[in-house]
Parts: sequence; C-alpha cells; structure tokens
Amino acid sequence: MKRIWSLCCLLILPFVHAQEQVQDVFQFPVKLSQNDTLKAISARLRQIQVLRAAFSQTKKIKALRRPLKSSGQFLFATDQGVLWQTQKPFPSTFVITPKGIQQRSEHSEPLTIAVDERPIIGGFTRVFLSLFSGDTSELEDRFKLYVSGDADNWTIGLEPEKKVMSRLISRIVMRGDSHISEIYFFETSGDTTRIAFEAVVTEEPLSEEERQRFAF
Amino acid sequence: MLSDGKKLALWLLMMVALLLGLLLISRRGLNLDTNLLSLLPVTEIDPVVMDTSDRFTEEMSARVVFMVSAPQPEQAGAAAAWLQERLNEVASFSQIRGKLDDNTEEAWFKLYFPFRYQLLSGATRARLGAEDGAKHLIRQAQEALYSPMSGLYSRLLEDDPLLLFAGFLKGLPKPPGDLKLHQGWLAVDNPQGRHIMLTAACAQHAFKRQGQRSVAKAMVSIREEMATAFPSVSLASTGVVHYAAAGAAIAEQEATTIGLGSILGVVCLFLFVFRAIRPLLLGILPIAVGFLAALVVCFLVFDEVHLLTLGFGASMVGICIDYTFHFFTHRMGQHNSGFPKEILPAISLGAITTIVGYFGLLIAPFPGLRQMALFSIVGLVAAFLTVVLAFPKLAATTPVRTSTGLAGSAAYLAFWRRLCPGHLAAFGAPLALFTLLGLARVQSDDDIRGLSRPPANLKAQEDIIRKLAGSLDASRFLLVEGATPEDVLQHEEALHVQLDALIAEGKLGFYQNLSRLLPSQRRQQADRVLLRDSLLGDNNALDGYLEDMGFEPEVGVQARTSLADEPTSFLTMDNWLQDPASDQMRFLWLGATDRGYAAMTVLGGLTDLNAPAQLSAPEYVHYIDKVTAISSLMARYRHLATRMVVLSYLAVFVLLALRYGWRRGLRVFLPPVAAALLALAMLGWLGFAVNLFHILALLLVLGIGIDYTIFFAESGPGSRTMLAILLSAITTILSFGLLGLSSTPVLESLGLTVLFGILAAWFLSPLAAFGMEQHP
Repeated sequence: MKRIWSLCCLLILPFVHAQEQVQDVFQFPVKLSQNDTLKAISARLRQIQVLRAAFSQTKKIKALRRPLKSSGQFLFATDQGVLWQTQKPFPSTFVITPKGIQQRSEHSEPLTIAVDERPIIGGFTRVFLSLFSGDTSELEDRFKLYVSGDADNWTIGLEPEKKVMSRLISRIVMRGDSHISEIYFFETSGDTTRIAFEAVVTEEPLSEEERQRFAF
Repeated sequence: MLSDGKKLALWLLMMVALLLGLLLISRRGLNLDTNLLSLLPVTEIDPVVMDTSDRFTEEMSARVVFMVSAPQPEQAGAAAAWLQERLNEVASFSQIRGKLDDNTEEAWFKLYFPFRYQLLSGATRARLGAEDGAKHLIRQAQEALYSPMSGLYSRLLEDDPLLLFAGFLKGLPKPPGDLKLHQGWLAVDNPQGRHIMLTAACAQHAFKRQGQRSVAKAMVSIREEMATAFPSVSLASTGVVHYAAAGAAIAEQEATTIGLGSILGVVCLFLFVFRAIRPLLLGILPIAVGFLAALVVCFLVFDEVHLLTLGFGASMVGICIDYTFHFFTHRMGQHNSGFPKEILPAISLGAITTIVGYFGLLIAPFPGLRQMALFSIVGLVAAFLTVVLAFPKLAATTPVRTSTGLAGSAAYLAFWRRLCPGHLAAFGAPLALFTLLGLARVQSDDDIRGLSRPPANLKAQEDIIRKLAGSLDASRFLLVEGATPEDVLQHEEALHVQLDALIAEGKLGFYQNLSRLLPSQRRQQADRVLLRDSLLGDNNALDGYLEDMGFEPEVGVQARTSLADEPTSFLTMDNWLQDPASDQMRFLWLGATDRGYAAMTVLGGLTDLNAPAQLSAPEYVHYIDKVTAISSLMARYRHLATRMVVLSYLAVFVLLALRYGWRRGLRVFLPPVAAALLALAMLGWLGFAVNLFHILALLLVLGIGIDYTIFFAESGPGSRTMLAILLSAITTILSFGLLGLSSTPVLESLGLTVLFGILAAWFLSPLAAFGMEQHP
C-alpha cells in the first residue's frame, strides 16, 4: 500500500513542481502601455484568425484523489469563438462564444447558458476568448498583468481584479511562442487546470461546416 | 291643499334633515371609489375562490415597480441605493425591495442543500425513471466536472458528489425577462446601460383617492430630487396605482372643467333668457338640493360611492332644471304671481316616468347600476319637491320678463305645424332609413380593457419595464386548493404534467408555483426512493462512479448513508415560509381559506387564452381569467340593462296610455324612443362599439326625452313649453353632452350618447304636441 502511495506521489510530483515554476511569472508585474514584450505578444496573437490544435487537459480537483484527464480537438476562430471537443474519456462538445456557452453531449439535452444569465459565465467567456485572441487591453481591464520571457518564449500571468472572477479564480497563467501553447487556471478552491495545445495549425481558414457548429 | 307657507315649512324641514345627513356622512368620511371593477357584480360564485383571487389581485394591484437606468453601472447602483433609502422614508410605500444582501445565495444554499437527496429537478426525475437512469445522471456529473466550467461545481463535490443541488437549482423555472443579480441588485445590462429594478407596495389601497394622491405626490418629489442628484439617471415606474391615479385625476379635472364650463353656460343662458338674477338663483336651488340629497342618501346606503356615480349624477342637472324652466317660462310676461298650476301635472308625470325608468336599474343585481339609479331617483325627487314645495313661496314675487326666445320657439313650432301631417312622411322616411341603416351598423364591444385609456407616458414606462423585466399575467392565473398545505402541493404537482404539455405545445410560455420551489413531502419521499433505487440498486452505480472519479472513501460513505435512510426530515411549508430565501416567492402561498388552504400558479406568455380552461382539472383547480370574466359580465349586463330599459319603458307606456289613451300615449311615447334609436344609430354610423354605458345613456335620453313630450301633451303646443324644452335641452347638452369631450372612455360614451339623443329628442318633441291639437 505504502509503495503504491509513493508511486502516486512520484507521478504527481512533476505536475506540482511545474505549477510552482509557472507561478514565478507573478514576480514581474507590468502595464500594457509600458511593456514592449506584451505588445509584441499581443500583436502576434492578433494575427491568428483561426487556430486548430489537439488539447490535453489535466484537472486537479481537491475532492478527487486522481486528476481528471481529458483530450480532444480545439478550434478557435476570432470572429466566432472556441469549439472545445472532448474525445476522451467520452465525447462531448463545449462551444464558447461572446453570446454564451453551450454544452452538447449524447447523454443530455444541449445545455445553453447565455452570457447575461449568470455574470460569472459572461466573465468566463470574455476572458477565455480574449486569452486566445490576444486582446490584452480587455485582459488588462479585468486582471493585473505579469510578463516574463521574450516575444518568442513568453509567460503571461493574470490576477483577477473584478469580484465576479476573483471569487472563483485566483490566477491564470498562459505560455507560448508564436501562438499559445499552455494555459493554467488556479482556482480559489485549490483546484487547478492545465490545458496544453499540440499540433497547432494556424493557416487554414474556417470551413462552412465548422462555422455552423458555432451556432446555437 | 297645503298653503304656500306650510309647503315651504315642510321643505325647510327636509333641508334640516338633509343638513343633518350631510353632517353625519362628513363625520364618517367620504370614501370615493375609483376602481371601475367595483361597479360590477362579483364574477365568482364560489366565495373561497373569490376571496383568494381577490387577495392575490389586491396584492398585485398594490405593487409598484421602479426601474433605475443609467449608462454606467456605478451611476445606476448609486441612484438605486438612493431611491431605496428615499422610498423607505415615504409613508406611501411599504415592503420596499431593492438591494439583496450578499446572503441571498447563501440563504438558498442553507435552505435547500440539506435536502439535496430528496429534491430532484423535473428533468432528473424523468431521466432516473427511464432505463439507465443512473448512468445518465452520472454522465452529467462527469461532463460537468470535465468541462472547462468545473470550477462552478467542484466546491461542493465532497458533500454532493452527484451535483444534485446544482441540478435542482437548474430545474427551477426561469422567470420571464432578463433580470440578473448584479452586485446584489436585480438588474438588466444592455447596450443602453444598466437597469436596476426595485419594488414596493402601496401602503394604502390603490383605488382609494387618498392613497393615489400620496403616491403621486411622492413620485413627483422623488423624480425632482433624482433629476437633481443623478442627472444622467432615468426612472421608470409602473403599477396599478399610477394608472388608477392618472385616470381619477383626469376624470376629476375633466369633471371640473366640463362642470365649470357647463355651469357658466347655464348661467349665461339664464341671464340671457330671463335677464334677471333671481330666476338664476332659484334655478340653481333645485339642482343643488337634488345633488346634495342624492349624495347624502347614497353615502348613507353605500359605504363607498363611486366616482362614476357622481359623473352620472351630472345628468341630474338636465332633468332637475326642467321643472324650473317650466315654472319660469309659464310665468313669463304674466303678472299674476304664484305657482302656475297648469305645469303641476306635467312635471309630476315627468318625474314619475323618469323614476319608473330608473327603477329597473335599481333592482338589477349590479352594484354600480343600483348606485346610479338610487342617486338619480333621490336627486330627482328632491329637486321636484323643491320646485313644488319651495317655489310657490320663494318665487311668488319673482317677476319674469318676456323673452325673445318665446318668439323663436313660436317660429319653430310653426315649422312643425306646417310639416304636420302632410309632409311628415317625406321628412320622416329618410330619417327612419338613416336610423335603420345606422342601427344595422351598431356593434358591441364589452372588453373591459376598452374602458381605460391610459396616458401614453405611463404606458411607455410600463413597456420599458415589461421589456426589461418581463411580467407575470396578473389577471390570469390558476388557484389550487387542498385540505392541508401538503394537499395543495400534491394537487399542484398533479397539474405539472399538463402545464408542461401546454408549454411544449407553445400555448404557454412559463408557469411558476409553490410546489416547484417546495415539493410536497410525498414527492420528496418518492424522489429519495427513486434516487436510492437507481444509485444503490442492482449494479450499484454510485460506487462505480465514485471509484472511477477517484473520490475519497468518506465521500462514498456519507453519500450512501444519506441515500439509504428514509428521509427523516422534510423541507416543509413552515421552513420555507420563514426562510429569507423564499422572500420573493411567498406571494404564491395564499394561506388558509374557509375550507382548507390555497396557492397560486402564475402563468406567463399565454398564447392560447382558453388553454388553461381546458385543463382536465379536478374541482380543486380553478382557472381565473379576470379580463374575460369581467368582459363577459359586462356583456351579460349590457343585455340585462337593455331588457330592463325596454321593460321600464313599456311600464312607462302603460302609464301614458292610462292617462292619454293608447293613441295619444303612443304619440307621447314615440318621439323619445325614436330619439334614443337615432342616438344609437349615430353611434353605429360613427363606428363606436356599444357597451353597457351607452345603454345607460340611452336610458337617460328616454327619461329626459319623455319629459319633453309629456310637457307638450299636458300643456299643448305653446311656445312657452317649447322654450322650456329648448332651454332644458341646451342645459342638458351643456352639462352632460360636454362629457362627450372627455378622454375617459366611460364618460365619453355617456356624453356622446346623451348629446345625440337629447338633440334628437328636442327636435322631435313637438310631434307629441300636434297629436293633441287634433284631439283636444
């Protein structure tokens, strides 16, 4: 039993370690207007119209002994929003647009929450969408910003200033190069979420079929 | 026969009694009612249903909603906070609801969370009942936890691993409108800015003038202060009290201007015709006495007198003054003082026929009509007695000069003399055709909503609020009864399936009732059993889920224990009613009735108004549709009033036939009837839809018109009589026809009908005279 436990610790340890590292960025507070790195990152992200990637998400929820791992396909389009298609452990789709969110799965009727229905959802979608679009000025309205690294290998830290967000989320960290490659959410409850993006493609435009999937 | 002096003494005695009565009612306080609906008989026969639905309607009528709008959320918040404080200071408002404290969410949690294993949303219940129910429930929880939004749920996971609490909250009916909680305010954000809602209740009854005035006054000062303190903030407010106040204020203002106008007109008329002050003063006397007597008796008989009764009472002027006119025109140029005896039979018969005409209304089971009839009869009798008893002495020495009016009247009569009888057909046929065609066009409209014409700015404010906050239909709802509170809840739950079906068919937008917020104990028990059987049943789905997700073992132990037990405690009516979380919804509970308990089911977005009436509902469910019920009641009483008018006038005809023989009686009878029909035809031509109040006006036309012909029948076709009738018609039109200009639909109906009718009655009245000439 003891051996199994230490094995678990070994497995989790790198994860915990990584989390401590990514939070180093919070030693470097910046202002958007004064920071060239931030401006450069923002300019770069803004160029991306459509981003496709494979994602893998690791959620550590306090009440659960094991992290929840899931993976699937990710699609971001500046004029539409985010299409979050989980494939493992079970298929389900999450659509995030400026209007709200919708969850679709085979086991339940689509669940739609409009932005203005719950303020937290509004905050969440705005933040989520501005993370990917590089809308740093929108982010600066809601968060204290921190930056480390340079425009080719950067880390941005976000600390919510608005009560709606700060009740749930204590910190957000995103890392990337020419595009975003990793996001961490640190929740006030102690839960953490890490989302990694791989096989990123940014050139291909949105197909009509994909466009339709954003509609709800 | 009494001497003139004794008559006067008798009259003075009456006046003393009148003054005593006035003193009595003024000590009691004059309660003026302005609610149109209180004129009507009750719509429900069942006293419990009537009582409970009235309780709800009253509560809804008392509600006032405020919407504070500003481009910036901070401004809106500051202004709303100011308004809330200000409303608390004003005595006109009570139960002010504005900023919710931060504890609201906590209150919901505290109330519902302990019962999470026995409270299921409708969707969850349905899913658990189906095959693989537990799997669905579990998959839903997993999806929530794997989703990017897991942070919303994971906090309570140890105590609620299946997210049942979140599921129950999600299943609660969403009220119409876009109101959300923003910083503790119920508010809507849109491109125009933030709109914050506050509600209050009128401290006094919404249909009492006193309460209306204090609310209106408070609103004016609040608006002024707000405009100074928060220039960029706008305030909209709606509520029954605003409409009632505006309606009453307009009616009062019109009654004043129209009343003053008509009095001025009558004064000028008197001065012009009689060229002396004394006839004027004497002319006012019967009117004043009649009006006061009517007022005193009505207030003694009824606790409250309706504003419309007073409006209707204005018609008294037109009838009471007839007697005075006859008195004076028959004294014109005659030097022998004293009472012109020849008019006594005419005015007596005129008074009797009018009273008979009103009598039908007096016995109708219709509170409003009874009040109006009583008012008119008493006023008429008092005015008549004043002329008969007081004038012989008071007016004995009043000289009356000959008027040029006499010559004019003589000319008018000559015109009729030439017309009769040879050209009558040539003249009458087109008129008859005109009338018949007009009558064919007459349509009726009994919709109660047609009786109010709310000011545009109130309507605009209501629209703003309705658009932002949505609204419940306060006039259509379901009442559910039961022997015990638990019974009521169970009865409501039985209704859910049918109501959900109506929503699915698109006939209903939304419904809200208590049992969705507070399921019956039977349902809580059943939900617990359902959960236990599906989660702990054959394949022990709960354990599989907890194991898969990696829950700590204690979580499983706690969940299993909670599920395995029969529920020992329930969310009860008492818990719920006393909990701060139920604050906004407590109005749904109507409490104890004479035969048990009752609760409301409010409906919204009803597209098929008859749908709720067709619910296969047992006797404990009542569908209340106030608008339809009252409108059909109006129709029923329009028919009843029409029959009453016809019957009353058949009685009048019998009376006339007894005195004049049936041929002459018919001549006296027909002109006013023709005038009434002509007035009705005019309404048809002008496209007015006829309602109860037009019929009442026709009754007046008949009452006044028959006076005209009786005067002719009694006194012959003299120019004095003609002048009296002309003066009387002008007075009636001035005093009552002017109401046709009113923007209050009821007064407009009365006024226009009387205007047309009296014109026609005056025009046709000489017809009665020429019948007499041939058979002297």
